[in-house]
Amino acid sequence: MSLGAIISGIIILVILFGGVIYGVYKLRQK
Amino acid sequence: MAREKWNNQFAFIMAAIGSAIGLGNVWRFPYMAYDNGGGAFFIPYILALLTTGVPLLILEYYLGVRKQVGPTESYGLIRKNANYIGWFSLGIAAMITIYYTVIMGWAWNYMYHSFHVNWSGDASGFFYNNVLGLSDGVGNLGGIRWPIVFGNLLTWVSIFLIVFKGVKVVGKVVNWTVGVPWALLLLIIIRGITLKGSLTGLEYYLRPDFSKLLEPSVWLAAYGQIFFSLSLGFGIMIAYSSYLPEDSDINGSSWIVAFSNCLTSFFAGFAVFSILGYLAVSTNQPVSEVVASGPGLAFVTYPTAIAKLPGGIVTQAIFGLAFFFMLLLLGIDSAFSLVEAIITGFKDSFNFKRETVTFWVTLLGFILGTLYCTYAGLYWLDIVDHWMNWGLVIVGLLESILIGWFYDPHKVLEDVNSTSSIKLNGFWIFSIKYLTPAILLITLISNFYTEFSKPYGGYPLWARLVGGWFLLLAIFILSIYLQKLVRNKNAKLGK
Repeated sequence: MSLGAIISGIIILVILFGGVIYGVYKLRQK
Repeated sequence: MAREKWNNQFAFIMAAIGSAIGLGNVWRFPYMAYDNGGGAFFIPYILALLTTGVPLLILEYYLGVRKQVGPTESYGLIRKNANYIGWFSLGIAAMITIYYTVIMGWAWNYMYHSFHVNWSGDASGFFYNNVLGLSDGVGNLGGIRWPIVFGNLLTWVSIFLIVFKGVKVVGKVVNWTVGVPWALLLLIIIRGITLKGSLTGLEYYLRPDFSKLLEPSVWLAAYGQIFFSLSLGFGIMIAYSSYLPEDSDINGSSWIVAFSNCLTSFFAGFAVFSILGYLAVSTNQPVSEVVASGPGLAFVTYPTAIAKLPGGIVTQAIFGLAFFFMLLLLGIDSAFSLVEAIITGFKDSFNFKRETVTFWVTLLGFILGTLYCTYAGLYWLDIVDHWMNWGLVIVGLLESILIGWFYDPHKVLEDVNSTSSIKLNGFWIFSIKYLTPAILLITLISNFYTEFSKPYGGYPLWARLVGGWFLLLAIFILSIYLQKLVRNKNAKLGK
């Protein structure tokens, strides 16, 4: 696998996972 | 009588996620990412999620939570005589449910065939000849494929049992129909990425091609994918959220549902492309030769790869069972959410009893689905699916225009922020008023242009008229009629 594919995979994973975790965190904070 | 309620906000979020996550996450999204720039596709995709996906979800949750009614009543509380939008969305939902359950009927059949991996040797011939018995044209119905009817029956019975008692039962069921497919997806990914050639497949999925971002079609594909995969425009999200307490957190729920849906799509890409990579390497072909989407991916390409898995028939059977059971569960919560939207609509507008309306909706849905269980079923499914997607875009356009231009979006913004953990800013208004309608309008115009320059699927004109244009028109006329019927009924009762 190329470096470009690995890096883009990691970035996407962090953004999407981060989005879910942020949403859960804010909802629990309420 | 007090409106029924979800057990808690978590149950609602899981149900909404279950509704959003469906077959499209597995058979549509990965191919779309591959075809539109790989890793680079996620830039327009995530932007589309933030700029129209989440804003539209918030709009639909607002209608449900604050108005405490389903889609056939909530639009009318925004503007007089706008309930036809809700009826129209339910008409589209009904048409989609009828063929969606048949696809799940195929999945039931494939679960049965998984025990002996019956498709090994010629997965394509097995699907089109043995399972579907596909005829030579859309006009040749040929007869009824009874195993598919039986699969469809199993699906409808499951849907009836899940929804007839109301959202409290739905809230419990979704823990399984969301949790189990996630677990199965994880298992499939683990097996997939440990296969020879899987990294070659993933390279095709994730390698970014930034030059693609200069093509408008890629951006349109990203916005289209977000719109279709979040269960928008069906009235589902309005119906589901109408069973939440009035002071619920709208923005936080929308955010979690939207991101969970996209995360699932992202992972589904790993399950698909690792196996495609294995298939390509084991058959000495480039991945571009084996890549597929839609039913062809789920019922031909994927089974082909399953039949080539190392470990013999037992491993292949277990993998096949896991895959088709995952498809079934991914589909079932989308299907019962569509049915729930329809039930909520009739219940709210006509005061029908839930049990009664559930019975008639499931019975009618099952009977009408017989068309898709014929030898020409796949053709009709393809035609109706194509045109119903037009209908969804029309609903999205109407609802954003209704709130953005015929209501006060500032009022909505203040209202949703007052009970939400994530605060919106003026961008939400910009999105609902300008961006979302503009994108949906461009999508509609571009679809019109494509349709008239190259008629869809090469089907004869009469079939495209009956399964497409006339059907859409009939749903629209019926929506106006139902709105009038409810208004006259209410006038008689002095409401």
